[in-house]
Amino acid sequence: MTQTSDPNLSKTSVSQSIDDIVAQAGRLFDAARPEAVFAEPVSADGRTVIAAAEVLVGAGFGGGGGSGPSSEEANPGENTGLGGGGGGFTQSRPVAVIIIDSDGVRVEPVVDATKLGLAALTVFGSMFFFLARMLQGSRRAG
Amino acid sequence: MNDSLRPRVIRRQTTRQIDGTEIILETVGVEARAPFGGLVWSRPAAVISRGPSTETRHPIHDRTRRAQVALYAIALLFVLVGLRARGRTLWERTP
Repeated sequence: MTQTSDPNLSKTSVSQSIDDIVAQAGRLFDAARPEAVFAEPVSADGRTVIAAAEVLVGAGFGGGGGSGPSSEEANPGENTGLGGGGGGFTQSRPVAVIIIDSDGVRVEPVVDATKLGLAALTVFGSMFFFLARMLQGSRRAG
Repeated sequence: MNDSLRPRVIRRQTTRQIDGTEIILETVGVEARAPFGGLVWSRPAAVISRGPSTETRHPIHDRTRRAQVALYAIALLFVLVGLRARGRTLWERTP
């Protein structure tokens, strides 16, 4: 939080900072452009490989301020307070590998075994729980 | 709703020259931007190889996502069939 007795100075600097943050956040979204989704081609043994990934970028920020009369007798006038904050995330997951060789172009999918394993555990765990409750209910009814 | 806040589906392409073949890399994504933040999601859609006389399109499928959706669909189907077999609905509470 910024607190100063010179409101014009603080407002200008904070406004400048917010403009900088907005500009930087705009650049953050460039992470989802095609150059970020597809990696640079790598060539070896007459074969070129391009990795392809799914990209997710999110960001949010905000700020606020206020002003009020100074409570200090030695420094009469108006005090202002301004503050801001933000956060963001980026996530990338490989989806496929593109192989270009003398046979042509082919796409090899990349399967995330960990992600699928966790999903399977959740699904089969909840199915088991549901089945157990169903059987318990029918036993009680019988 | 502000236009910048409305999610937009964006299809983009980038071209690379590899061993004399023109390779077009296509992405598809959703973009929702607000004045103070936003969300951008982008995934590879296809690879197009363009030769002197031919053009071939190779779609890129996300097998992990498909398998995940299939697993969740099986679970939901299991629950719905189970409830139907007992003559109950999804929103009824267990006594």
